[in-house]
Amino acid sequence: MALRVSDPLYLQPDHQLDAETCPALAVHGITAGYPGQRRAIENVSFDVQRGQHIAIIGPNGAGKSTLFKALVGLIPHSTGEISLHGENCRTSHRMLAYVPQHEAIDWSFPVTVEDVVMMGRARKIGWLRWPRSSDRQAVDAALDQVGMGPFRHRQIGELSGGQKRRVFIARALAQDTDVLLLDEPFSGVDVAAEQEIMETLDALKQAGITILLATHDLNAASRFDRVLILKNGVIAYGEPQDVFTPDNLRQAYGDRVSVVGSGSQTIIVNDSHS
Amino acid sequence: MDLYEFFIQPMTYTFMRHAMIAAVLVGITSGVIGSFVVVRGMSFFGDALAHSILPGVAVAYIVTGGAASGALFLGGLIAGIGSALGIGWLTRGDRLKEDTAIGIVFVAMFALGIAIISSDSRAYGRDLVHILFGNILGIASVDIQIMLACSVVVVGLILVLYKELLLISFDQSLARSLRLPSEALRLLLLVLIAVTIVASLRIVGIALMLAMLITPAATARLLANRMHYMMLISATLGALGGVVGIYLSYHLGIATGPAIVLTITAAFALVFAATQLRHYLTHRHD
Repeated sequence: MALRVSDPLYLQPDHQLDAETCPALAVHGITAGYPGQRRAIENVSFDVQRGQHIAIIGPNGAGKSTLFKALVGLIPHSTGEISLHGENCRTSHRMLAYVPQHEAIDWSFPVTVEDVVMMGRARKIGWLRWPRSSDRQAVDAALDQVGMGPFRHRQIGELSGGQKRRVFIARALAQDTDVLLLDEPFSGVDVAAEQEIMETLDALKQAGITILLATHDLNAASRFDRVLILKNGVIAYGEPQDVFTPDNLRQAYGDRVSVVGSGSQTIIVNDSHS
Repeated sequence: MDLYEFFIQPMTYTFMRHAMIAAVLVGITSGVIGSFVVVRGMSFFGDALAHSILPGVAVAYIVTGGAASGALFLGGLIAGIGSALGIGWLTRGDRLKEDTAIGIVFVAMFALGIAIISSDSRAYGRDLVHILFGNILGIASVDIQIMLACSVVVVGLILVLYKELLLISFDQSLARSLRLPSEALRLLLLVLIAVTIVASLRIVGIALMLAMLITPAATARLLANRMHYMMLISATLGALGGVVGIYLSYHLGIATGPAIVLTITAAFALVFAATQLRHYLTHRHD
């Protein structure tokens, strides 16, 4: 992958070896939210290697959004450590970009695709400044990475569901990060759009972008490098075929799913999450 | 009537020249900030804030015994910023639904203002009308200077903080994850709306102020797909509406505030009809 200015490899050539062997994201013993409450998470630990794509699944209230918000520092975590490329980021979370669920967006807002992606540059540009040519280049690069370059002058309301998600992924990329957190990108989109988003994620994988993605869609999750089953704590974490066991799924979803194990296959019935 | 009589002759009066300059300044400023009012869905807040400045203006009226420009402006500004911050504080963290908080503060402040003015029968009988609907005959040079200063401050701050204000208006969650001080920026926007309203008091008055804030911006939104284009079109429409409205007011002998409001409303109606027609023509074969 091309070096970015913010890349630790670029900033600290002395630590090159460290940065290459260090996980892209290391989470150790994170506790966030109010103990015992729904959505709280307790003692969550896992490592993500550079370029890996991780699906985080779990029932409603399992704490998926809480975990993401704690990782980007939107809510405080009471214990534990988070490090990015080997650097502790208790105070600085600038290299993680969070793509939240977007029910609250006003799609008729007078902004174009390009304008939305440029918003990701706000901190880089700084106070009292206008975008420079390096910011415009970063926006171009981010749009190209998700294949939305040709739509740059469209008003955002004119896009399809999958295209809207891709624009917000581009905005996260424009934040000069290589670790993205996507919160439920498949919710409320049709099958074609889900496929479109999966293809975009594949392209990002080629570019070495590390992705954590929360989803209810167990089918989609089984196509990721690793699956993390979360229910206020980590139930299981590993490759899909090792994680999707009847025991793990019962532990996470309880009565809400019927799991049938038959030989090497696991059949999951009725994943109701409403 | 020839062109000279229509356009030039009215401008031989000082009060007409003052009114014209004031209307252009107010049109530009409220057009720019009004774009944020429209995209953020703050029409009700804008109307409420305009009414909330009344007690400040009323106290200034009674204390100075008339229409002293500086005092009126200061009184209105204190009441306006106080109300804006009060509403902002009440609605922080979902303590109270925003429209409820606005409704309570707005009517209470307006009632307080009327109560204060009613203690002076002269002010109650005559000047209240000017405060509510504007009075271009009363625009002095000092008023123009105050308006100019307000316009420079409001438009200047919006240009300088444009990308941050756009961001907090479009997507709160991104603003939070980028650690932008969203709450401070939101309060700044409320204060700038208050400044714009107080500066526009002489031209359109409290009761008609909302139209200056939202009608040109709503028209511009029909024509623009980017926020800065919307602000540019809105400011142009606001200024043009002021100029046309003042000429109409002069020649037809009607009050200036309503003439300006009806002019910008006519522009909105025309643009709305045109966009509906275009939509119909492009989609009729669907």
